[in-house]
This record gives sequence, structure tokens and C-alpha cells, in this order.
Amino acid sequence: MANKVDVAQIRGQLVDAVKQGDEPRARVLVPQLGPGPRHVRVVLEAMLEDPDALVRQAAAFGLGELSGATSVRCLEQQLAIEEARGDYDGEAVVEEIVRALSRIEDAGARASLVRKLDRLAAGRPERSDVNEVAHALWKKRHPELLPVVRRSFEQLSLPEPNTLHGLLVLLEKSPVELGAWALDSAVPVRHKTGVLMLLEEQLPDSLISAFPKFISAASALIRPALNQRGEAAYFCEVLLNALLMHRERLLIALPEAVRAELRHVARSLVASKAMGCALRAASVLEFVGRPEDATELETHRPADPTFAKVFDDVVRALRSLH
Amino acid sequence: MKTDTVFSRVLLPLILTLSAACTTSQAAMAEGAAPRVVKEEALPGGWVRLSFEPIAPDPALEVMELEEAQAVLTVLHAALLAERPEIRVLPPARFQLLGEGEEWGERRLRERFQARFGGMLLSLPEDLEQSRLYQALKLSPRYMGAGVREAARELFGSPVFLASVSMSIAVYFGAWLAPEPLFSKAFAVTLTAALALTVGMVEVANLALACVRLYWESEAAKTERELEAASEHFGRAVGGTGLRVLVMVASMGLAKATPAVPGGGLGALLGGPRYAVEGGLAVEAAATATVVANRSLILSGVATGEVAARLCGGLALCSTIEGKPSGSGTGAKLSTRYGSPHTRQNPPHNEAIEKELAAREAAGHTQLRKNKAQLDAQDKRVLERGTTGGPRFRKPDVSSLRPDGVRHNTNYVSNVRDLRRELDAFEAMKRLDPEAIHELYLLDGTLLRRHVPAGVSLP
Repeated sequence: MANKVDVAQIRGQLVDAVKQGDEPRARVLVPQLGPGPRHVRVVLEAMLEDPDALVRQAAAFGLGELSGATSVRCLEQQLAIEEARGDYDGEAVVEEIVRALSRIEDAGARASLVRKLDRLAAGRPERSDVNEVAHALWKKRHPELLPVVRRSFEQLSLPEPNTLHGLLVLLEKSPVELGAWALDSAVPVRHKTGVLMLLEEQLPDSLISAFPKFISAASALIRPALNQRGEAAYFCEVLLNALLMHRERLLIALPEAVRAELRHVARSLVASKAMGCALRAASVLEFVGRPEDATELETHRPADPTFAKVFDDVVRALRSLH
Repeated sequence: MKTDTVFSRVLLPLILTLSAACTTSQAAMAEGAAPRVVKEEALPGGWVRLSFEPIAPDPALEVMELEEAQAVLTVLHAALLAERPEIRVLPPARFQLLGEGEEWGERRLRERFQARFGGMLLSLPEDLEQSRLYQALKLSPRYMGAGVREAARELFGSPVFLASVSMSIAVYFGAWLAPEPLFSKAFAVTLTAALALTVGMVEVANLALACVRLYWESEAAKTERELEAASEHFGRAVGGTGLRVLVMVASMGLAKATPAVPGGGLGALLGGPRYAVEGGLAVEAAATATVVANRSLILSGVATGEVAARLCGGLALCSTIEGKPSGSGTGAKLSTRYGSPHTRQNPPHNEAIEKELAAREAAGHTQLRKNKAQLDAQDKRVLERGTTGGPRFRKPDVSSLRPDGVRHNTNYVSNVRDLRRELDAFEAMKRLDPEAIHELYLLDGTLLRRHVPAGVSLP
């Protein structure tokens, strides 16, 4: 059984891991706070009362890992406390609580997030706060969310792209409809980006079939994405990043024709003036490229050593395909 | 302009705190004994004698890792080259200055040492690399103990480090030529007091005597063998702690801040202070210090006890200019305007973040984020691909959105031992969001890395 000294040490390590954004390490530490979930919960609930917001963030993370209705109740109570603080400290804990709720399977977590969205919609929130809640709700997607999300979207006036709009689209459309929507040139590019921002973090199997359409949409945007850092380049960057984040499921499953189209998009975009887009394009080529693409990469190799290394690594990988 | 004038005008972070150390140093302190109280004796004329009873060396300081040496060089090179952006520094392990045949700033280095410490106490030729002292220093790592040899090779392989050590010997350690070394420059007084409190006067004096001996023996050497012998005497006399002190003094000619041991940056190499003056030690701009019998310091222009406690607010060492203390420490209030303290163990780190965010707020930045998940300019969380073991997202110390919509992220290194990790984090953040401005600073304001996207201006 963990003694007080051990618990204090693990608690400190957990706070540090959450502070560093090191979720895998934090995940390993949570169960070590006590001999069983009940003991762990006691420690975490005590941490929620700590004056140090970093400790409260770690507690929220831990409760998200413990999951269950008790965690949801506890987190929702804490959410109200943190919101009432109205300061930067409280905001940081709110962010962590929202993320914790998104990981809890219990239906109460979704209800809690809906209430949070309602409260945001009643005020003038920053886009980043709404994005966070929309991400969480996307992980808890359910048809009953549609009216709530639509209402909030209509109430709020957020700059695009934003994930609330993306969430609305994803809730409204079937996979087939989503594919058609992605291809529709009348739909503003930034709206499509909002959808991809959600899919980048979580992609259900049912939507894998829509990706070829997004790739085709990117194909039509190569020219503007090459020449300026505008919404076309950002759309391509987010799309390529989503492909990389889910590469095991997406890139391998692509039909040959789509794969060829993606290769064309990536080959072209390594020359993009938008470095974020160019780097993702180079990384995608590692998975869909051919040895002859190495020359294209070398031609457009960035001068900055950090970025050049990304290109060099891909060149090496492609050359080894011989 | 005289250095001490500059010194007296600017509230420089002269900090020697028990609590301001980074996490690693704190851990080291927790494992070791509490600082030993220095024996204090009031002398006529307002002078104070501080006696530092010798204590056993800290085993943790007697070893120096290669990574620590590489971090030292990163900091030194960044400090020297801050004004020479045309010269690039390669990453650690392959240190060298690019731009072959280019003068890397030896003259400027010499000027900066002299401005801070005063005139040359020992003469050196115009071209430092031609001096016998420089040559002997270069050979010395081979005679150092196994615990530091590899790190010393790395350090003494750098022309910047060698030149800095040569200058340190000429402008500071050379004072030990006199039986009772005297320091009248506020900078040197504070440095001596800081070093004495951190490792003890005996350790500092031993290193100084080894440096003076090296100078005389190398200058007198007529053959390669004699030069080698001088080098050997020096190498065998310098242990891990001595090497760390040498690094500290060598860095002082280049660092932006005055002695801050272990308040941040390279100061962390020395760990927590091993001695403390009751109530603290407040050093005035006109202070002087004399080293007596190599274990005592006789100081003028300083306050101790209750007066120091009032002036320094709980700091172990502070400088007082017009009655105001500079620095922060145990008693310092942690600012939390933009969020909870970055770490309670490191107030200067937290204060640097808060100050930066306040400046950005004043400049019209929005989304003032302190140690929160990295976002891009579109408020999208920037995720790291491949989640095996590492963080899925980074948390910059400071992040904000400029009025022109450019995201600006800044991190601070408070412990040089963490430099490798911080450089990796910098590279990762830059790779993940190339359209943002990214910066990495030491707490003393030394810029280590900066990325400004093409087409973006930096005021």
C-alpha cells in the first residue's frame, strides 16, 4: 500500500506530467495514487480543493481517467467553482475538466458538456473555449446533440474555422452526404476545415469513406495553397495532418486511385509557401510517395534546419524503397 | 561608462535564493543538509567578517555530465552570438562556430569582461589563442578526474569557453596573486559573495590559486613539456565543483544578468547554496570584499541580520540600490495574474512569464495563455503525431495572439540541466506550428533560439 510519502511523490509527478501535457505518463501515475480506485478517488478529490490550479488540473485529469458517474458529478461541481472564479487560473482548470469529461463514457458526461456549451453560448466566449467543448462533444457524439449544437451555433458568432460549425455539419450529415459536401465547391473552404479539425482528433470508422472526397477537394485547392498562406493552405495542412494522425487506418486503406491523387497533392504542396502545409505534405509523402519524389523534396528543401530535417528524413525513407 | 554606474542604475536580478532553484536543484537540496549558517563578526567601521567553515564537497557536484557541458556551451554561444546573427552555432555534440576564418568576437568578449570586472590583473596577448595560458587550458582536460573529463573535453574544445576562462583568470582569479585579494567592483564583490555562499570560500580560493599557478607556470614555460606540466597541475587540481565554479565565472563576462546563483540559467549547475547568512546578505553598490586566509570574507557596504531580512525580503543574497532589493526568493510573492505559478519552487520563472504576459497585454495581444496547451493562430490545438511515450501536445510558458493574428509562443529555461529537453520542445513546437513565432530564453533574458516565420516582422 502506498504510504503518505509515496502518494505525495506520485501526486507531484502527476502534476508535473499534466503540466507538461504528457498524458501517457499521467495515465500511468493515476492508479499509483492509492491501492484501489476508491483510495485514488479520495486523493484526487482532495487535490481538487488545492489552491494551486496546477494541482486541480491534475486532479481533473485523474478523475477523467477514473471515469464513472461519481467522477462526472465531482467534475461538474468543480466546473461551476472554476467558472465562478472568473480568472485565468479557473480557465485553465475548466479546460482540463472539459477534456476529462470528454474521456468519460458515462451519459452524464455528455449532459454536463451540453450544459457547459449552453453557458458558453449565453456569453461571449473565445473561439478556443468553444473549440474545446466542441471537441469534447464530438467524442460524445449522439443524435440528441443536434438541436443543442444548432441552437448554440446560431447564438454565437464565432470566426471561422471553428469546430462548433464542424460539429454541426458532422451531426447533420451522413457519411455519404459529408463526402458530397466536401466536394461541393460552393461550400466555403473554412467550413470544411472546421470539420477536419474535429476529425483530426477523432475519426470514427464510418467517416473514413469521406476522406477521398476531402483529398479531391484539396486537389482543387493546390494552386491557392501553393502561393499564399490563406485558408486553402490551412485546409490542406489540417487535412494532411488528419491523414497523418490516423495514418494506420486512413493511408493504408486508400484505394489506389485516391492514393495517387493524394501523392499528387502532397508532391505539389511540398513547394507551398505555407510551411505548415509543406511540412505535412512532405510527411505524407513518406507513406504514399515513391523514390522519384525525393528529387521534388530536395528541390524544395527549406533552408531552416528544423524544417529541412523533416524533408531529409522523408527523402531517406523514399530512397530506401528502392 | 563605468560598470558600477550601470550596475547601480539598473535593478539587476542579483539573486541568491534558497528557493529559487529549479526542480533539480531543489531535489539535490532536499537530499543534502540545510545550508550551514556562516559565522559572522562585526568589525569596527561597519565592516563584517564572514567565516565559511570548510565542509565536505557535495558528491553530486563532483561529477559533470557531458549534457551539462553541452548545455553550458549552448548558453555561452547564444550569449556571445546574440549580436552576430550571421554566425550559426551547431547543436550540442558538434559545437563549432560556423563561418570559418571569421572573427567570432574575441575582442568584444574581452571588452565585456573588462567592463564588468575592471582592468586586467594579469596580462594576456591581444590574440588570446596565442597565449600560453589558453594553450595550457586546452590541454588540461586530459588530467582531470574521470567524473568530469568528458564534460571538460567538450567545454575546453570550444574557443568561446577557452577565451572566457582565460579572461576570467586575467580579470578575476588573478586577484589571488595578492595574499588578501581585494574586490572593489560591485560586480566582483557580489560574484565572490554568491560563490562563497554557494560552494564555500575555500573551494573558490582553491580554484583561484590553481588558476594563478596555471598562469605563472604556463607563462614561464619554455618547452612543450613545461607547458604540459602546467596543464597537468591545473587539471589535477580542478574537481567537479571547481569546474562548475569556473563555468560560472567564465559565463559572467557574457551573461546578461549579474550573479544569480542558483537563480536560473547556468547558476543551476552549482545547485542550492551550502551556506547562509542569518537574515540574508544585502550588498550595496559601493561594497568591497577582501578574502582573508582563504576562508573568510571581510565585507564593507553590506547589511546582514534583520536589516538584510527587511531589505532582501527573505533572499539569501540581494543587491540593494536606493534601498530597493532586486531579485526574488522564498519571501517573494508569486504573481498569479495570468494563472497559477508555473512552479512554486521557481519564483523567477513564474515572474518572467507573468512579466512577459503583462507586456504582451499592454501591446494589445489577446488570448494570453500561461502554460496551456499549444494552439495555432486559428485556435486549433496543435497535436503531436505519434503518441508513444511523449507528450501529445506542448504547453508553452507564454502564448498569445498578436494584433496582426500571429501566434507568439515563448518558453524559458530555468535550469541549464533541462536545456536539452527545452531545445527539443522548442524544435517540436516550431515544427508543429511553423507559422507562429517561437522563442526560447534563459531567465536572465539571454535569447537561445528564435523562429520568426517568413514575412512576419518582430518589433
